[in-house]
Amino acid sequence: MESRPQGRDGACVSRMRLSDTFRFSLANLVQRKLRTALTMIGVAVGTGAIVLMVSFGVGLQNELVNLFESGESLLMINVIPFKFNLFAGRPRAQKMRPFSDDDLKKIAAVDGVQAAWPDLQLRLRYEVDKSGSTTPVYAIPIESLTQPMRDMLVAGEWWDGKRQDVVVSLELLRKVKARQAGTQGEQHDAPDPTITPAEAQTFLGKELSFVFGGSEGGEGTSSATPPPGLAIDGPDDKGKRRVKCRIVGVYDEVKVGGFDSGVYIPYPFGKLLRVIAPPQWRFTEEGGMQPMKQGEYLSIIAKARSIEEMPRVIERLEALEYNTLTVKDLISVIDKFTLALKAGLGCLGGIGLLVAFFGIVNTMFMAILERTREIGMLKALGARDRDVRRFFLYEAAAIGLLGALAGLGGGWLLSMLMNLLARTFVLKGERFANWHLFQVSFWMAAGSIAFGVLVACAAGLLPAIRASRLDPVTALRHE
Amino acid sequence: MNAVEALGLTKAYRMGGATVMALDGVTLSIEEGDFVAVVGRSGSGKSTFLHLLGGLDRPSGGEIRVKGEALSSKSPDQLAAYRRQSVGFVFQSFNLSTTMSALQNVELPLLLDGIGSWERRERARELLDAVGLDERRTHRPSQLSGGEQQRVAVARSLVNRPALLLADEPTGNLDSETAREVLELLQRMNVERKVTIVMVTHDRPTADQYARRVLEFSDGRVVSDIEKPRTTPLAQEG
Repeated sequence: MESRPQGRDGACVSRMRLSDTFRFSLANLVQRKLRTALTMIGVAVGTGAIVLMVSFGVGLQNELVNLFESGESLLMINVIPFKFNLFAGRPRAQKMRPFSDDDLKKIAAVDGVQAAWPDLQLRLRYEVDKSGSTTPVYAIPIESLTQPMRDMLVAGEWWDGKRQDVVVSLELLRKVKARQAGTQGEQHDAPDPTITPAEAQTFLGKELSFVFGGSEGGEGTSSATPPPGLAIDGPDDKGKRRVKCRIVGVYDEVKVGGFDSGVYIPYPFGKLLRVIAPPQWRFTEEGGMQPMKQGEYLSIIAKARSIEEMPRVIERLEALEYNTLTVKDLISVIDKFTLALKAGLGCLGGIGLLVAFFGIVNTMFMAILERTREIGMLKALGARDRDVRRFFLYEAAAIGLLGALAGLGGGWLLSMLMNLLARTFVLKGERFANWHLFQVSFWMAAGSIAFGVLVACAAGLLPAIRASRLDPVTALRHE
Repeated sequence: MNAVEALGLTKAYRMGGATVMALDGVTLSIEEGDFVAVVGRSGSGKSTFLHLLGGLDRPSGGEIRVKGEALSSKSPDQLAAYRRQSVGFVFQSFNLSTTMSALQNVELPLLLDGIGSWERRERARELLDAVGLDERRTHRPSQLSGGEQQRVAVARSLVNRPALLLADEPTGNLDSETAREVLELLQRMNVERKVTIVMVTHDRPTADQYARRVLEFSDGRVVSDIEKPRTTPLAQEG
């Protein structure tokens, strides 16, 4: 007998090297190629399903966040009449008090607020080239023009805010063009998708009139006296009065993720129009609807001087008992929503991995049954229980690793295919040109591999323990 | 010096409601370098004795000492280390790993003992050479004859330079000619390598021919113990 290094308890300290254990396990896997491959496919399908599902959640989250999160929009604080909490019941169950000019002054005076203006939206009748319809009209101050808003212009430029100038959407021009084409034919409001930015250029300098009164009634009708400072024509023979404006810019609503047509006008101009415009409606505390009076606002937008000041500005506003809503709040809602979505989809994909789990358990138990004599032999040759346990655990882990790698590759390829299909058949057009609804990140990839290995190890644990506890004498007699 | 000392060794099994004494108070000692055959009918306790010697099983009572060390005081890991380093097994059905080459099979005890690959290879090849199979080292067990497989098993049992080689019916699956080769190999290893051999067999003539000492077991007891005079080269040395 050779003298060997002895441990404190007299046990010989030499033992099987981990690298040798791993090679030994791998060699056993290679010997059973078909069964290993079949078990691996189970893991691959499970992991691939999780990767595909979660990549959808991540892609959706990123695209939605991108939609909102852009430069100056992060500086905007919406002061709203209710506490924003998507998960705390309907907002109208809370106190819904419209804001007044006093509120506006108080908010504008808060330290760190660069400018504040009410959210002023009107719905007005308009005419371009004798063709008319109704449109939402957004009255915004020049301070609220963010870089994304500047970027969304495809022709002309933003107004300087001093005159009765308007910036209109491509969608509105499409409708105008469509109506002109169909004036004599059938009436249709379908947008004509063929209008180009170059065509939009031809509308610059043209006249757009907001129409009030007249026999048609309905929207755009008001009996109020026009305020001083508003240039208004008429009434003509049909009783219509027109506020004539000049189109100075055309924007592509798609570029800000919008789907609606609209007209942007300077805030002071909007304030004058509001006097004769039909009133905005608001929810009442009882849940009904009520027209808003002059000097009442649904919400007020405050623009902070800098990102750094945002938290303090919000604190100060809340100290004045104003409720706020920022892009960050929206993003946190998106995050919460997509987290739930990811968890749900991940669980769905996890079912595949659960099936794979039992596949591995089955494979490992079969392997033990087949190799009972071999386990007995290994123990007779001096393998410790933990060596035997490791042989089987490493085999399971290797199945998990290879399966997860295959699943990740498959899931990733599928997600690219899904992106292609989505853009080809569902998310058509320029609006979604850069959308990736399925996104596989590095951490998702690393996580899915780790998860696959973990599940495989968990599946291999019981068989491995069973193998390690086999009595060598009984195992050697096994037929 | 004694390689093995057994003192009042018992082993009881529960079978149904009854207790069966596989070993019933065995006391004996085996000298270092001896070649001992254990004979007896099926169920006489000879294999149980071998398993206890090899640390594969624990006695119900009594004590067994190998080179002065009591096996009953060893933990499971210590027993595994004892099997790795002090014992070599040869089985009736060879028990080679079918997925490994002859060389890898011989290396296995060293692999389990954490010996580096270079030393493993050297020692395994030396043993394969000693049993005359070096040129067949890359063959799998399925490509070897029964006699060759058992020679690989003998090489494997000796590669860790054990104090004790335990053979359980090593010729049970072999024809008489091949059996003779394997027994001669064991005899040669006993002489050349001075390894103590305890061989279980049910074949009395084989035991008489190759072993120096023959222990006969019956009902868990040693009923006869016959030693040949020490005329072997080993005895002259000892």
